[in-house]
Amino acid sequence: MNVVIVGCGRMGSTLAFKLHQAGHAVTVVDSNGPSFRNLHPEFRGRTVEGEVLAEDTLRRAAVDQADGLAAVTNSDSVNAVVAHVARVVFRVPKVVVRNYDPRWLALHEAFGHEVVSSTGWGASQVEDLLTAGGR
Amino acid sequence: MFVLIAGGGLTASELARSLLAQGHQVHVVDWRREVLARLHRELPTEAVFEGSPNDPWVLERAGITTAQVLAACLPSDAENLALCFVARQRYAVPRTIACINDPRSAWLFDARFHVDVALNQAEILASLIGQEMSLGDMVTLLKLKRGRYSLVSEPVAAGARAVGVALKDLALPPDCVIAAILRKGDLVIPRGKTAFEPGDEVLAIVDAEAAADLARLFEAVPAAPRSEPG
Repeated sequence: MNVVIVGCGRMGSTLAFKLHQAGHAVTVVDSNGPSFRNLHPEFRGRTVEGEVLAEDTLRRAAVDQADGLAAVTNSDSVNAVVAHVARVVFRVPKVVVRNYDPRWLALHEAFGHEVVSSTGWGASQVEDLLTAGGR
Repeated sequence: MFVLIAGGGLTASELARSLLAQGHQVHVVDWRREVLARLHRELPTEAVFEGSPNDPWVLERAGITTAQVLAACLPSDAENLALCFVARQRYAVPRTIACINDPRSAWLFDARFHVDVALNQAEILASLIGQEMSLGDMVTLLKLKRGRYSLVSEPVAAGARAVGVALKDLALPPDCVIAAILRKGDLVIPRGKTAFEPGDEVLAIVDAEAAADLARLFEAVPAAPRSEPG
């Protein structure tokens, strides 16, 4: 699978290495070059530095040939917009969005995105562990 | 009209003031403490709403469900795009206007994000500065049809080619209409026989490409001024 990951923070870099290990062709995009230092030393995918909303950046990352795209920056609006562009402009078949601030969840839903809410999911996990066992 | 403005930067608050002065209802939403302080100094309290324009609850409290126009003036292009999309998709706002911060994201500001009108301030300023440099004393008053045509004002210099020439004899560029002449503070409606005088202010509607040809008729001729008795 050709996968494009937008955002190379903790989540993007971890996801990139996982997909690379699983044998996928991975391209990571970030507007800030030093973010690529977050990548695992054994990561062997492509990195593209550039403004993520610029057409030129997305073309260099070959989003038009991607089978999947994950928008996982720490800005909900950037994630929502990049994901919408991937679906509507580049017709990427599988697009997943990271929800960062829970207040934004409804807005991702307005776009009809498939959303992973890391904060909300983490909070429920912690809640389950804290309240488990009924003590 | 009820206009909801997201972001209270300098452009947005200027817009809010001018809309309020014209009798429109205006709500401005911002989350930044220093911006809110300025908004409260400049605008009536009931026009200022505190909170993040990404938060549906804040948008609803500020009246997005009944807004007739949304103006997205946030400092992030992604937020302006997302807001226009959501305003139409979720709240059926009839008209959306968005400011473009970074010209590199300008390509996205269209129907795909439910943006009805996009304002590219960098591009407008750059093209205005370019024109001012090339067209001497000509001033662009208004852009029409996304900049294809302009309403311009041009002073008639002493010794210009047009001085003393009747309008019907003036070799105007093809896509150009002389709309009015301001002479000593009075408006002169141009007729075929009207001749131009030094000090006249000519108002014209002109095609972008013909603007330089038009300017040449009213500027002082650099060497050997040609006089054409009218």
